[in-house]
Amino acid sequence: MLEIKGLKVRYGANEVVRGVDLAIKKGECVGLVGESGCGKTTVGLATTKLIDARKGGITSGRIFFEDRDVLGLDAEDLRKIRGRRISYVFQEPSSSLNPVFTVHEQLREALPEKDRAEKAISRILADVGLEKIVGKKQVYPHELSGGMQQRVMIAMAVAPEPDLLILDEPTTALDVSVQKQILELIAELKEKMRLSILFISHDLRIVFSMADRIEVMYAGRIVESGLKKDIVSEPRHPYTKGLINSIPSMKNRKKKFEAIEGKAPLFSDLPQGCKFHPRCGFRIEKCMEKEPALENVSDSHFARCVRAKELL
Amino acid sequence: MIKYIFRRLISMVPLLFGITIITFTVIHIAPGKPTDMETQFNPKVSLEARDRIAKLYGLDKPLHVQYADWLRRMARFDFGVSFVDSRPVMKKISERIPVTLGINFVSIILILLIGVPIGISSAVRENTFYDRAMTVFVFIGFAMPTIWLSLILMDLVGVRWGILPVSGLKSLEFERLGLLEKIMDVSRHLVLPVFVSAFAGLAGISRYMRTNMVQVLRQNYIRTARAKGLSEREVIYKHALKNALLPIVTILGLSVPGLIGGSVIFESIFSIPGMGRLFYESVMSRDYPVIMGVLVIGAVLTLLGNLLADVSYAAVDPRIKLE
Repeated sequence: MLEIKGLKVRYGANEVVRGVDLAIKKGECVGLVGESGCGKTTVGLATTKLIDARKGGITSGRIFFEDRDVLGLDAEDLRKIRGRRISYVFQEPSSSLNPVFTVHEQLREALPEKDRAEKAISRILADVGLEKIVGKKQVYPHELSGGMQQRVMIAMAVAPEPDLLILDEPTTALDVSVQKQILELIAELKEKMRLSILFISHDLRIVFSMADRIEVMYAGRIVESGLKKDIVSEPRHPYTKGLINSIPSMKNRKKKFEAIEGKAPLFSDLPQGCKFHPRCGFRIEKCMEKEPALENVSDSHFARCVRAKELL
Repeated sequence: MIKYIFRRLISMVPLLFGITIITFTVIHIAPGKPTDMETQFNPKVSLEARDRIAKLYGLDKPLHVQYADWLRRMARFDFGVSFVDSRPVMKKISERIPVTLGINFVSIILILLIGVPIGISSAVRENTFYDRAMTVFVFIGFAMPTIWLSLILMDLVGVRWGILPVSGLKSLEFERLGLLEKIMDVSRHLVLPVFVSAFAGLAGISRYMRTNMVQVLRQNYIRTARAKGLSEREVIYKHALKNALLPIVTILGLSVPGLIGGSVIFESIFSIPGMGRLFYESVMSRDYPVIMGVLVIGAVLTLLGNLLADVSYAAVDPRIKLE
């Protein structure tokens, strides 16, 4: 349904998405994981050309949504996709809702022009469990808690019954108990509305609980891609391995907490060869020469590592 | 809300009290005396006569006694009489205040009508040639001394081209004109003064508007609005504009003292019989009661402007509640 090919995005002098391929099938939930600043949010925004033109833009690549070339669409046609067919839930609900308009009004806007009836709004509010709180009309975003604000964002996103929902760190700004409720709500809506989802998060645990397939991003490129079970049980890229190892375990409490050494590189100063090699424990001479290609490990499992086949 | 306004009004009293103490003192210790006008260049007036006049006005008493006298009269809303023509100060001011308020009102409307769109369009086209050209244009207005600009315009438009009148509010034949012609006549007289005061004020509003708008356009909720599939028009003129306009409300309320100060200058240049020129004339003749009267009115207007700014901010921004 969605297919991104060779996407490159530049912010000023830095190329922050350096050729990303990504596909989402109907009804599928794809998790896009990576550290903050690896370009995952940008990929999400680029999908409907939402990148702030003042900061940068898409330099090359193609994006197909149901066989339509999104990058070739004019503003009017693009609007028919944005928020109607592909909708978003962003990270910080408190700053993503307009403070001077009522929740009701912002929700009303999310519906297609011809379908802005009171009944439709009440139904959506009931879907996200806000009918009691926002039922009365004059409620402003600042009067709601973070969790409720995120419910409003989700309501806005699913109101027009989109095909694809792009969730950009939807639970990162929320505390853990609220996180769980929001994730359950998303899972419930996904079933009910048969949504396809691109789930962007730095939190592997959350992605594991939601996604069917997982794409791991590092320094503007996909470094590993595969079905959830493959990624969980046999990660082939040292970076993915590092991410999984750094999840604290409840079962094995004595285990030392393992973080990935070093820091993610700056886009203005990317290393030669494999972009991960300065932090990699499996580094060999070859890693410093040329950035490896994304290669098959199995039919559905790919990794961008010269030692992908030997490592486990 | 009403309780809040009431409390603010009460708290204005000590503030106003302080303002009058300072202005009263400053004006009385400034060089020159009201009696100078009548006596200084007149050799027939003896020293005794001068003292007699001073005594008549109560100027021989110590300053704090004079202030107490003035305050006692003020408490009864008695502003006293002018030293110059013995007419009640209240009457002199009330004759003149409508002109000043009228001109300022028209010029504020003009500033908003031109400055807000300049700010929005500059913000939307941030850092383009248009944006920079507008910045230069509004700063020319801001930097140009009002007096100089007024004189140049009077010379060009009034004298050389003879298109518009350059002084006063009415033509000599005003009384003989019909209603429509009267309105036209006054409007023609107001073109230059309003233009000068609006041009000077344009920079403030348009720059504030631009800055607000640039900041608002970077907010996450603008991205949300775009992601919802709203048109660029709805994003800018609905979602961004309402947020960017909020601080302008405050600035308008706070611009009162600047406007009164500006009136003093352009009313004097264009010989407009408003409160500004009255103030200028009374300062020149050290007409203490009139000076104090105008300053008190100005201070009250300023304080009311501040209050209005706070109240209207609460009215337009749902996040602000006045307690």
